[in-house]
Amino acid sequence: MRKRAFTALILCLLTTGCWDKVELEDRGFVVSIGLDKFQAQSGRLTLTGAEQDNQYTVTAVMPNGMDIKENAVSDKTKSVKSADSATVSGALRLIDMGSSQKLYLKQAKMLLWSESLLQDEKLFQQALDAMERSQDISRKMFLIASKEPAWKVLSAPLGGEPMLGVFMENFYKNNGGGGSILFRQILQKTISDLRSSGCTVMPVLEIKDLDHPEKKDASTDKAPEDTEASRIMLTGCAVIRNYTLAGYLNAIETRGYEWIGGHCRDAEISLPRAEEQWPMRVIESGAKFFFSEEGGALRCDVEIHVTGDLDEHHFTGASVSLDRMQVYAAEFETAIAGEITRTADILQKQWGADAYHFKESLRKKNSNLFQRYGEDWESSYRSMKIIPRVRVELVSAGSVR
Amino acid sequence: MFSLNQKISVRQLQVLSILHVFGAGIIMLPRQAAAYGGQDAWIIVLLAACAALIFTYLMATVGRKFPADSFVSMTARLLSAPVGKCLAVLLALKLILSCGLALRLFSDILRQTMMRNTPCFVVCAAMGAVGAYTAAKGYETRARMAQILFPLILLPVLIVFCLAAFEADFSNLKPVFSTPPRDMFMGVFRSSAAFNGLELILLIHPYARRPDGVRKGLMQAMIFSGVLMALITGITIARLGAIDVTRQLWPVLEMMGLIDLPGSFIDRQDALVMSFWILSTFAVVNCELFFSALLFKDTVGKGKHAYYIIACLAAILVISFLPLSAERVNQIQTWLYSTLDVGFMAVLPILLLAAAKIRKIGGA
Repeated sequence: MRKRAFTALILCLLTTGCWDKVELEDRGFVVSIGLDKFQAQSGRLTLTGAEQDNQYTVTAVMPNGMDIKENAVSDKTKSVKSADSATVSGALRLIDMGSSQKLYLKQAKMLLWSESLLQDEKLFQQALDAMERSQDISRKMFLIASKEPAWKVLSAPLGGEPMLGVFMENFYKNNGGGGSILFRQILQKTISDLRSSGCTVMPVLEIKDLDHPEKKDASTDKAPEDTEASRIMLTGCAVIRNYTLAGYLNAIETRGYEWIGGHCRDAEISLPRAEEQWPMRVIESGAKFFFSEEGGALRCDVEIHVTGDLDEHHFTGASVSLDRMQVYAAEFETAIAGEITRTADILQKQWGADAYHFKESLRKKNSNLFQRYGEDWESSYRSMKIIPRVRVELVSAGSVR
Repeated sequence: MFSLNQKISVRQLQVLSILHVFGAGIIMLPRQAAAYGGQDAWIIVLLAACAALIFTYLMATVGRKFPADSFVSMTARLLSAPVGKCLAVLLALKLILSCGLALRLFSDILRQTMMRNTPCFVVCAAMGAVGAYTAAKGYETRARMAQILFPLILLPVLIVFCLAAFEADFSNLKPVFSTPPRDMFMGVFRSSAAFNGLELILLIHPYARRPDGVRKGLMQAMIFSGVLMALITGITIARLGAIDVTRQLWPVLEMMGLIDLPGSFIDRQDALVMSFWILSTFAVVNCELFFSALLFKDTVGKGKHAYYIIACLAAILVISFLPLSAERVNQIQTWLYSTLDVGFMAVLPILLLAAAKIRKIGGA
């Protein structure tokens, strides 16, 4: 009996507890990470004596547990720390050293890339590699591009929505699967896209009046928190080609890209006419590619099927007839095809960026054509004819609730 | 007391075999197969399973002929006593080495994914001690334990994999059959290393309650494991793409980590695979400890099984403490497979069957 009790006691002592235990209050949960190309500025953490090697500025945003009071969300609830280093992982380690809490990156929701970094092929590739290698970083993290320095965007006072990482997480959760510029880009997909077709896109986030928030507040009657939250905007997407920024697409051009991606659900397309606006809300959209050869060049027929309904209409006293609906549908088809062609022209002719991943599609669908055109894809892609064939089906005129 | 019972049912044997195969292969298999076959990796895994099925058939047929004989007595009867003892020692050493390497890999993954600061020796020693205790308690103890835990862990894993299939892009599996035959063959050969440990089939017949049903039962278990492994490989490639899979050290864990289940109670689905894998590693450790100790005991012919288990455990722990990278461990495992495993799984059964036929001994 004594022997058993002793064994049980020893087991209780040896098999409970945790070697790696970190108390919750000792954890610094990073919600957003910002990456910038290094630019000298005082007040950041750095490894003294190695300043000349600095390449990156990394910013981490953490909730400041000590300042979170009940229903009192303010900028005091976030703690922003930046560090300069030769490497991304080195900068993260410096932030960890400069924090009384142990940095925990697995809950990070957003990775913000500044324009300066996206324009530097070598640094961008190295940073992406650091993210991929790190066991601490979730590959589900959202990637967002910013024209402004990432540290500035992440440090901006945003009442009501102090932490951009949490804002983006909630934004995507509530607009899940939505189309147009609402598409999301995660770390894993970006790495995979760049590796397979050398091209990817990232949503661009802007904060209005980033440098002068107080001017904005003074010019409006709205409550400060509402005003500040509404300053966060997704304005289009950044196109990355061969690990460097090729350019930006605005919101409409991004939608032109997304029709082919097949994720335009909930987008609204509006046709301005002489006396009226015809808006259509997209219920569902999908795209299929068909490759063929024409005149010694590749041809890609993109079949796009859109289901939508007329969102609002003045009707001028009469309901919309079936014939009229068909006229509207045909007009929308032309408008959508126009959006696609305009974006395709920019991507294909101006930048040579295969953001649609046609190369991968060709490899999967037609190995004969892939063998013929895949080797010199750059020129094959630029000379490829992209023919959009749009079919719009209006399922409701919105006249009956 | 059931722990003193050394006989197990065919169903228990099936559960143990499935766990053993999964513990040895599932974490790295998709990467190995994709390195040769790209998007055709799932076909490679299926073909590797077919190869494993053939090995299983051969070994189970040998065991069926000598259901009451231990490995040492069977080989001694067919190939002479010295040869039998040499083979037993060789197999025991191979088991110790492969168990040590499996433990090393286990501690590496556990440290990188969950317990960063826990020293390697603590992880290895804890798993080794639990494995040794179960092995010392007899064959049925571990069979019962596996039988209870198996459905509890396998079912959630299967459900999550099914849900992962909804998010997967199956066009990533196209074009099909585009891998050159030579790469396909090499891929099948390398991937069938995931089925290492099958050579233990030569040793299990004395522990089966119904030796006649062992061959059929093991064939069914291999078919189940092969199909499941091919499915997991296929879904992993569909979700991550073949290029990405070849770059990931543990693609299955990565894939599980990416699954976004709406309204999910568990945020990190990779923990499910980890729990299944921990159980599988436990099965591998106690199985290889049990049989390596048994082989030494049968070779020496005296002493208690438990003492041999302690000695084997010490050797296994020494190997698991060696500072080897995951890549190096994988390299040694592949070498072990292409030499000793193939020898024990394919060459030896054929030799034994031929000897049995020539000497006209053994059952029908």
